[in-house]
Formats: sequence, C-alpha cells, structure tokens
Amino acid sequence: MSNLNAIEIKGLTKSYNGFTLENLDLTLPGGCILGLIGENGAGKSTTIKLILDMIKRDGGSVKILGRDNSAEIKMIKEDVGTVFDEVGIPECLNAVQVGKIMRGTFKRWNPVFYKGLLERLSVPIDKPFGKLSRGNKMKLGLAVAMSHNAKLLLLDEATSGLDPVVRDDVLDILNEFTRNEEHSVLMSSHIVSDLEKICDYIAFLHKGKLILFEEKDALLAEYGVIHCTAERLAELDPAAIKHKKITPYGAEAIVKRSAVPSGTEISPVSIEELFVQTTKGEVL
Amino acid sequence: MKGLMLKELYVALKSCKMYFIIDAMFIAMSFALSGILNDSIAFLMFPVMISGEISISLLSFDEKSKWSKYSGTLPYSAAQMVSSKYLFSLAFVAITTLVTFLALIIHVNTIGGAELSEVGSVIGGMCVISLIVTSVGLPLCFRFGSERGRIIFFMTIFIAAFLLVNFIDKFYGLGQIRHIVWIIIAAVAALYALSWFISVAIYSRREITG
Repeated sequence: MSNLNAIEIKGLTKSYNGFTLENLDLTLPGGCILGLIGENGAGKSTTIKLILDMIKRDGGSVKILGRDNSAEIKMIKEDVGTVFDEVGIPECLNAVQVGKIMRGTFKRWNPVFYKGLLERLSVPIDKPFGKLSRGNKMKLGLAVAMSHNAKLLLLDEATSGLDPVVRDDVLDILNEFTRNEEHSVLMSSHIVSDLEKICDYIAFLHKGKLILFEEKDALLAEYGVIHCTAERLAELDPAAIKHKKITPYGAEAIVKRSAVPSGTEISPVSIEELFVQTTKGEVL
Repeated sequence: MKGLMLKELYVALKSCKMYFIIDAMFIAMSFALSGILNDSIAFLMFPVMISGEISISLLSFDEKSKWSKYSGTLPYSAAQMVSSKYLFSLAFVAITTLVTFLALIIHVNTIGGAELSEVGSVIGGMCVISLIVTSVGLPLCFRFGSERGRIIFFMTIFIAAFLLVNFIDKFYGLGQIRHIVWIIIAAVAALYALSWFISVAIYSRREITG
C-alpha cells in the first residue's frame, strides 16, 4: 500500500435538480480498490464528476494524488484514466484511430502497451467503435484508460450490462493493475458482487449520503447474519443489531459479531446483503 | 491539442461525408448545367455557404457519442477544447473556399459566362457569411447544445443572406464590395476572435452532465 492517498475527499457538497450530495468524506489509500456502491441516483456519478472537476462543487475539497483537483486538474488528468458506462468514443472511430488521438493527447501515452492490451483483450482494431459489442467497447475504454501510465482509474458503472465472462476479464485486469502499489481504482457499480470480489474498501452511498465506509475484510469480519425466533432476537443488545427482519416464520438480523453473546450461531454476511438491508429495510 | 484536431478530422471524414458529396455535386452542376442555365456558375457559392455548419455538425456528433462527457476526463483545458472546433471550422471553410475558387477559375476560363471578379466577390461574401455563422453558432451551441444551436444557425444564415442582398446591395452594391474587402476581413476576424473568447468563457463555466 502506497503512503500517498489516491483520493482525499472532505466535506464535498453538491446540489442540483432536487438532489444533494451531502458533506461527503472519503479516502482512497494508494494501491487500493474502493468500491462505491449505491442505487441509481445515489450520487455515484456525481461524485466521480466532482473528482474530475467536470461539475463545480458547492463546498468541500478534493485531492487527487496529493494535488487539489480544481487548481491542477489538467495535470492531474494525465495520471487518471476514466471509463464511463457508455465510454464516449465517437462511433465512427476504430481502435487504431483512437490510439493515434490519445497519442496526441497524453504525454505518457504508451502505444506498445495499448496494442498489447487490445490483443490480449481480443478487441478488433479495425472495427468502428459503434459496431463493437458492449463488452469490446468497455474493453477498448479500459485499454485507453490504462495506456498512459495512469496511477488512478475511475470506473463509473463500467461493468454494468456486461456478460459474466467479460466482467471477469475486466476484474482480472483491475486486479493486475493494482499489483503496482502506486496504482489505485475507484469503481462505482450497483453490481455489488463485482465489487465484493476485488475491492479493498467499500463505501455505501444512499440518497446522496455516505452511510458506510470501511475496509471490506473488516466489514465482513464485523458483521454477520443470525436466524432465530423473534423472542430470541429481542433478548439481544439492540446496539448489536444493524438491521432486522421479522416474519411469521422467524427473525433474521444483521448483527455486530462482537456484540452478540459467544456461542450464537452467526452466518457470514455478503456485501450485497449488507448494502440492501442497510439502505432498504428497517434500520436500527 | 493535436489529438483533438486529429479526432475532428477523423470524425469529419467519416461522419460528414455528405458535405463533401454536396460540395462535389454543386461544383459538378455548375459545369454540367452551363449549357442549360445561364447562371449555372452560381452553384459555386453553395459549398462555401454551407461549410460553416460543419462545426455545429461536429458538436452534434460529440453529443450523440457522449464524447462531450468523455473529453472532460482528458487533459485538455477549456480553451483547447473550444479552439479545436474554431481551428477545424476555419480550416474547413478556407479549404472549401480555395477549392471553389479553383473551380471558378476553371469554369470562367473554359465555359465563361461570368466575370471572375464578380463571382469571386460573391464566393468571398459566402465565405464571410460562413465565418459569421460559425462565430454566432458555436457560442450558442456550447451554451444551449447543438440541437437548438442548429436552429439558430439557420436563422442566422437567413438573416445574414437577407441583409447582404437587401441592405449592402441596395446601398452599396455587391459589385463594389471589393473596395471594402479588407475592412470586412478585419471585422470578421475580430468577430471570430470575440466568439472564441465567449465560447471559452461558456465552456469553462458549463457543467458536464449526462
């Protein structure tokens, strides 16, 4: 893990169109992958656009690789690769032309690495972008994002709509990318299983608010699921219960492992379960 | 900015083929119809007249492909993003004007039927209108998007053509326009520069959504 934080967000606020991103504090340590989880409209894309200074913040600060994003954004973008859900490459361009454009765009563009990555990902180099499959479009976007020696990758819903095989390829590449401890990834998605596979840190955004931000392993170690009767659940310390669901057939609760009596049978909780129950159900 | 200019060139060559086809068609018609129509040489003014619209078409393609959003992640300043459109548009209008003048010279020397200076002045006037249209259209497109910008483009071209024909011709005479050509060139250059400054200001303040 690198000492330098890849992203430091403090008190970030943005309001528009009946939506407010409220006082967001978030840190992505260098060499790590942070998964930004949230339902549609939770503020994930807004956060990424604010990081890139594509929209103006109402308050707070954003530092990328130690530099203030509003003061040095042009230089910062040399170190950042971004992939959006719709990528954004003109439909008539093929991968070779995109490579030439990016060679004239990034100071540290690496054409050999780009060509190698396209070959490895089996992206057709002579087909116009508009005629590529969704998976190949995303792979091309990723190849562009990674071929200028970027230190930080920002992926906004980049795996949504991809088949499981392509998603797995993308996750493999991201894993490889972060083997270099100077490399970090911020990945937003509502496909929680993808993030659970590769992320070191998990952040839950819900209606513009950060409701949870923790190291993934700590989160999984801290919480678990118990299945019991409603009466048995009522005996537990309320502070131990993160969320509970009581049905005529029994009770299910996400609990803090450390706060329930030893000997209680606790099953592992998935990040998806934790996210859904934290944002949707009865929260204590 | 080399990358941006290259992107404009690739997109123009692939997606704006219709411009090249229409330009070639008008030039061909000016020759082919010379035996049928007395003023067939007038077809030569159309390629230049429509050339100013390419910048708006390119912006429209950018919006459609989401390049407008994606380009916000690339290491370019607002001034560079805007400049690529102005420079490419200027180059396209200049090349179209040059090609049309060459066609005019060939036309006058092979078929005749018009004074080189007179038709040349009209083509020059169309070039001026194209640059005025770009100057007015681009800031509006950056501010309101290409769809509404295109409507404004056509309104501008109509008003400019109306003024050229009815005002300048009535009080000064189109044939005499060559006497103030340098004043016109200076005024259009100033307008183009002012338009660039306004577009940079608009682009710097705009929020990239979508």
